Amino acid sequence: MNLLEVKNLSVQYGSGQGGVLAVDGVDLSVGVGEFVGLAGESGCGKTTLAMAIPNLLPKYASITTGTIEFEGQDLSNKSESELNEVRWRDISVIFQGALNALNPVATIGNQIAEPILIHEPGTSHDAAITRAKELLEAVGISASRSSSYSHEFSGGMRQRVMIAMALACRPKLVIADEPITALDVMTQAQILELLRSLSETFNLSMLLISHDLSVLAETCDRVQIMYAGKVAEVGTADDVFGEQNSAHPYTQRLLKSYPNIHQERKFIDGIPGYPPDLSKSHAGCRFAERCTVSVEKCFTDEPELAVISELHRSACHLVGGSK
Amino acid sequence: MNSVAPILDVNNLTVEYQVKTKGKRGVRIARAVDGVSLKIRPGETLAVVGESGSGKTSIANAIMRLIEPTSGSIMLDGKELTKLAGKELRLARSKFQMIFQDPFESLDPRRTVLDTILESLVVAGIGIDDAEKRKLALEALEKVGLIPAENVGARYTYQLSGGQRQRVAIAAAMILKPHLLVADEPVSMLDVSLRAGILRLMRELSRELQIATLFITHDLSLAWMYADRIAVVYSGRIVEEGHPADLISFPQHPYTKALVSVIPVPEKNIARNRIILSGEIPDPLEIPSGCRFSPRCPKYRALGQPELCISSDPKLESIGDQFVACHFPEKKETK
Amino acid sequence: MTTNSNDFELREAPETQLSILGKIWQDRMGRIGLLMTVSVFTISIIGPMIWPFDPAAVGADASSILQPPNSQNWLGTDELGRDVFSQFLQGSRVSLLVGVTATIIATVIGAGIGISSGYFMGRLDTVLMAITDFFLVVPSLPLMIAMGSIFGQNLTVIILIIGVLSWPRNARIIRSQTLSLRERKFVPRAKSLGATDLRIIRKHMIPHVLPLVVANTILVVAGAILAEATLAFIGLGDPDRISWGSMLHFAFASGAIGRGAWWYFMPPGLGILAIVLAFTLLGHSFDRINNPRLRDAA
Repeated sequence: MNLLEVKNLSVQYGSGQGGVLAVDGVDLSVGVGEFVGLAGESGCGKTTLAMAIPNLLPKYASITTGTIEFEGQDLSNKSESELNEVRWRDISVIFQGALNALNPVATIGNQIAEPILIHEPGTSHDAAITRAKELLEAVGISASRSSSYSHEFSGGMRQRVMIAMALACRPKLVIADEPITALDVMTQAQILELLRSLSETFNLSMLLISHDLSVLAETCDRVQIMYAGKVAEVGTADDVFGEQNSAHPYTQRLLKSYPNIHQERKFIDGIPGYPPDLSKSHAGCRFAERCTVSVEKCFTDEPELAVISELHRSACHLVGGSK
Repeated sequence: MNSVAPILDVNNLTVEYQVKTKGKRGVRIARAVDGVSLKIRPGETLAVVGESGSGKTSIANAIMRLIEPTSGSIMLDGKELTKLAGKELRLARSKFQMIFQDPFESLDPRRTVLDTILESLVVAGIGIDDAEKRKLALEALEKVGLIPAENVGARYTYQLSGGQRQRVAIAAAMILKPHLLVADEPVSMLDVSLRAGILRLMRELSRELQIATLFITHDLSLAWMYADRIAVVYSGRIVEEGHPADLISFPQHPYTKALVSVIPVPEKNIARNRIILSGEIPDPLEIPSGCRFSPRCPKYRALGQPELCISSDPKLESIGDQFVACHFPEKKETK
Repeated sequence: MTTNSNDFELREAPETQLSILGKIWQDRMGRIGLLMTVSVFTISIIGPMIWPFDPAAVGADASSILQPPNSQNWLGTDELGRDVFSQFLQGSRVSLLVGVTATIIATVIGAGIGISSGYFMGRLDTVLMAITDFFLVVPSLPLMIAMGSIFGQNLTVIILIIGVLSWPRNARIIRSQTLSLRERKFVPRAKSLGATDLRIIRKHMIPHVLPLVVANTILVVAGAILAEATLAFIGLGDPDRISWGSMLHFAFASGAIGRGAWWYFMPPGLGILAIVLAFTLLGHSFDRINNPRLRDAA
C-alpha cells in the first residue's frame, strides 16, 4: 500500500462563477521511502496540490472533490484539530522561501526544538534540545552551532536548518516546495545529496516540488508533470526524462527548454504562449494551443490519462509524442 | 574573428566595501572584486559565471558605474569610464545599458509601458519632438514582439507578465543603441518555457546592433549555450576563462571542474562523477592566503596539500586557448 | 524576427479600479468622514453669504445681551449682543483656512525634507534628521504660545507658526518610505539610463510617496485646526478675526460659561469636535486604503 494516495482531487479558489479550479481531478501517490517529483510551470497547480494534502490551503481555497488517503486514513474530511495531529508528526512541509522565515531572535536549537515540544508534550526542554542537536548533525551542521542565530548562517545553511526542523518529529512524508530554488548550483547539489541520504537514514518519503525538471531528473524515483491543473504525464524518472521516452509533448517541450551539456551545443527551445486562463471554460486538451503537434481532436476532446507502461501514464491523444 | 578590437576593455578592476564590524577594529575592508580583467568585442557575449558571493554582480555594477570601483580601468569604445563623473557620466550612460534580474522590481509599476520606453529617449535626448519619440518607442515595442504596440504601450507595467516585462526592459535598453549590454541574470526569474524567447531576442538584437554583451549568470549550462566565451569567477577573481565548448568538456581549474560536474541535466542516468564541494565561498573579509580556493579544493587534498597552494596566489595564465588561475591545472591528454 | 505573437498574448487587464473617492466611499468610516468634511466646507463657504446678521454688529441695548436662542437669533447672542450663529459660521472659515494653509506649509517642508533625506542619504540625511528630531521632541504647544506672543497675533503669523511646527512627523514617515523605495531596482535602472536625481525623484519617487503624503496631510489638518483653536482659546488668536477658538475664549472670559449660556460655547466646541473628527476619519480611511495590511488587520 502506498503511504499517500490522492484520488480525483479538485481544489477551487474562490467560489461560484468567479471560482478557479486550480487543481482539477488529480491523482497522486507516494510510496514508502519513495521520492516523487512534482513539476510544471508557475500556475500549473503543483503547489496547490501539495498544500492540499495537509490542508494548508489559504482560506479562499477549498477541496471540492476527491480523497487524500494517508496510511489508509482520509485527510480530506478531517477537522482542523485532527489535522494538527498529522501535520509535522506524520507529514511535514518545507515551505517555499522558508529559509528566510527563521525567527531572527531565537537560537537555531530552540527553533528546531519548538515543534518537538509542541507535538510531543511531556518532552523536557533539555531532551528536545539534545534532539535538535542530533538533527543539526544529521543535516551537516555542527551541534555546537545550536546556540547560533539565523543571521549567522548562509542561505544553504538556513535551508539545512529548515530541513532539520521538518524532520524534528520524525515524519513519514516530507513535502518540500522549491527547497533549492534560491540557492546556488553547488549548494543545490549539496542539499539534494543531503535529502537523498536523509531519506535513506530516516526512511522518509518525499514529495519534491520544483519548476526545474533537471533537478527532479537526478533526484526522484517518479515524476509527475502538471499542466493547467491537470496531470500531463506521470512515470518513473526513466519514463519521463529522455526525449525518446517522454510521452507528452509538453514534457518534451519543457525538456528542450533546458540546455543539455551532454548533447550538441544548440539554442534552447521555449514554449511560446502561456498556460490557459483557468477561470474560463475550455474544451479539448489544455496544452493544444501551445502544442506543435496538435490535431483537430485535441481542440475538442479532453484526453484521459492513458496507460503507456506499468507506471507510465500520459494525457495525450497522440500517446508516444510526435508522430 | 579575433582581429576586431574589443569595445569593452576592463583592466584590474577591484571593488572594495567598508564593513562595520563588532569589536574595536571598527571598519574593515571586504574585497568583492579583486583584480578582474576582461575584454569583449562588438557583437560578442562574455558570460561571467559564479555563485552568489563570487563578486559577479559587483563586477556588473562597477562596470555600469552603479557602484564605485576602488581601482582599475574600464574602457568602453576608447573612453575611460572610471574617470567620468557628474553630467559627463550621465550623458555617456546611454552607451552602456543593463537588463536587471527581476523584471517585477526593475520597472516602475506606476508608469505605463510607453512611458518606460519614452524615458530612455527623453533622458538620452533622442528624437526631435514628442511625436517622433512616440513613433520610435512604438517601433521598439514592436521589435521586441510586444504587439499591438499601441495596446501594450498603454498598459501599466504591473499588468504585464514577467516575460513581457523583461521584453519592455530590453526595448528600453536597446532603443539607445548601446555599445555594451550588461545582462544580470536576465532569465533566472522567468518560467523555463519563456527563457528561450527572451534569450533569442537578446541575441538577435545584439548581433544586429553589434552590441557587446556581458552576461552575468549562476547557470553554467545557460552560459555554455548562450555565450561566446565564459569567465568563471570565484571569490572576486576570474579562475578560468575560455570558449564554452572547451570549458565544459575540459575544465582545467578544479573549481570549474566541480561546477561542471553538478550541472543538473534533464536526463536520467547520465554517467558522471559529481564532485560536490563542501563549504561555501569564503567571506570577502577573510579571503584565504595563497590560492583562495585551496581550502575547498579536492585537488589540493589529492596532491597532499602542496605548500605552493597556500603560499602563492595563482595568476590567470593562458594554457592553449584557455586561461586558468591554478598551480596544478588539469592537463589535456595528448594522444 | 522569429517572434511568435502567441508568446505575447496579452492577458486582460485587471478589473478597472475604483477611484480613491470611490474606495473611501466604500469604507464606512471614510464615508462618514467624507460627508462631514463636505458639509463643513459647504457651511463655511456658503453660510456667511446667506445668513443675514453681521457677526460683529453689537446689540442695540442691554436686552439683546446673552439672549438664549430665539426665532431671530437661532443660537442666541453673546455678551455684546452679537449673533452667535453668524459668528459660528464666520469662525468656521478661519478654522478651515488655518487648518488647510498650515498643513500645506507642513507638507511641503515635511515632504521636501523627507524625500531629500531618504534619497540622498549620507551627511545630508544625518543633518536633516537631527533637525527633524529636534522639532519632533520639542513640546510644540508651549513653543507655539511663546512664538505667538513674540511674533504678534495675526492670522498669517499663526498659520506660519502652526505650519512650521507640524512637519517633523511627515518628514520622518516620508523619509522611511523613500528609503525603501530607493532599494527597488527601478531606481538604479533609471540611474543607469542617465536620469538626473531630480528626474528620479520627480518621476519615480514622488508618485509612490504621494498617497502617503495625502493620508498624512489629512491628519495634519485636524491637528492644525486643533492647534489654532487652542491658541485662540488662550487668547493668542488674531483679535480681528472670529474663530471657534476665539469664541470659546470670549465665552470663557466674559463669564458666559459660568452663567450657563450654553448656546454661546457649545456651538464652537462641537464645531471643533466635528471638524477634527471628520478629518481624522477621512485620513485614517485613506491610510487603510493605501495600506492593505492595515485594512486586513482592522
